[in-house]
Amino acid sequence: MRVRGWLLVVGLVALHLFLRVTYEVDEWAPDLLLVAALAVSRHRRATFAAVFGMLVGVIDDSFAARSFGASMVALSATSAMGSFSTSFFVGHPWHFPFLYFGLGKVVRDLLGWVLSDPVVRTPFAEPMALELLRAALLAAAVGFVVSFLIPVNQQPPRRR
Amino acid sequence: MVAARKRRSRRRGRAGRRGRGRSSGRATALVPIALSLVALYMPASAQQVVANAARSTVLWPFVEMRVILTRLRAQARDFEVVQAQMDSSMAIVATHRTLAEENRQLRGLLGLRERGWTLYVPAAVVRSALAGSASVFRFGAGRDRDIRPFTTVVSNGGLFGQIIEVHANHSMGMDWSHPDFRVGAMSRDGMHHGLIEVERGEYREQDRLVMRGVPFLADLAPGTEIVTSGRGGVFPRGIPIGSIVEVAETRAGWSRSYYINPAVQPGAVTHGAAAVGAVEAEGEDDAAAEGDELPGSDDGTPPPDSAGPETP
Repeated sequence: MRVRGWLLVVGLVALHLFLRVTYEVDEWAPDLLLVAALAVSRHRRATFAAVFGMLVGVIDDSFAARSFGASMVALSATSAMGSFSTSFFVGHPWHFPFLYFGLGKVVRDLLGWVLSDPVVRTPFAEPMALELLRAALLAAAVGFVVSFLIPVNQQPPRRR
Repeated sequence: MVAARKRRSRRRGRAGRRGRGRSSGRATALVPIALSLVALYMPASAQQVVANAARSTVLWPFVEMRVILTRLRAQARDFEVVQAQMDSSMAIVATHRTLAEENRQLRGLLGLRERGWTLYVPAAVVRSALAGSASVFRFGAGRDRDIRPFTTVVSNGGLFGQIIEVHANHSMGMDWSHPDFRVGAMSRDGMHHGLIEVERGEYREQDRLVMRGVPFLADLAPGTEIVTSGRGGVFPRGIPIGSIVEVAETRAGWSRSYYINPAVQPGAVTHGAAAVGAVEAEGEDDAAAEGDELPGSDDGTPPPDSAGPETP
């Protein structure tokens, strides 16, 4: 990943915080932290991807009252899985980014929900049946656009 | 022949090393995940340190931008509306002055000492849409302005929430929609008491405030105003919480529960005032002169110009 790619990743994180903290947009703001983490994970080793996921997870959890760490685990694990996916899926068709980011969002939200404190988390029906589909579609759409700048459907350079 | 064997063994060696490298890479990828799991099960105090570090560094510019935006929006509000609210507040304050004088004279006749003021510290309330932050807010005053854990936060209209975590220059709190929130409540006349908590619905929009433990024979009519009872010493007495909507549950012969229509909608709150303590009436001037602290009325109701222009 080149400088342009890293600038985009930093921009995605900043935009996520701008939307969610400064403007407090909740439902209609895509999960840009996840998009950034998944975009990075296709170009880096699993360890790097997991550390990156963990760090953006700390930011995501900084306002959590009783479930601190849930996003850290979810983003870290999802990023690591994204990196492992390079071993299985290479040379994909143009619609691969849709699936990659959409499924990534589903996995991240499921993990986050399971690890959250049952006292404070929303009931299963709300996030899973209604919001997850919309959130996955949003993440997939943004991820598709991002994949033009940080390609996720190409074979990564050979590691030495 | 020998050269071919050597080539083959070299190839096998390279492949083996590559395989070992991959598997060790997968193993090391588990380390950050394990660290995240450790963070999940860390004591709350340690979690607060990490979260506060993130809030004070990476999130700081975004929080500050939010505060500035809120301030700009407040300034852009219709001047006439603000003027009308200030006029009504002045009318209430003027009425209270007469009442306070009557109260002082009556207390003098009865030989009672004067009641103190509740001091309020106003600050900006910032909420975020980050993961797990529902019902949690950042309050723009901290240890530097005498905020302590469990400090009551009021807003325009009534009770908003409570501080749960205090830092040097800001604090974190939970509003009344948090599942851990409880407050002792009573009807305005002080006749009927109960405990208010949140009843979670299937969806967040279905969350409702419920007043439990009201004596069975107490029949509270819809619209009856409910205020804090002051029991337990955490919340000052007399802060409006909401009004009765309908009976939620009846335990035959024992108690009733009522649904409450909240006085404050947490999502709309941008400024709040924390009740930092009471002072004796004689010290009122000194206390009011300190910093931005504002004196509220003696029954715990928020000051007119701290959380908003209107006094409940």
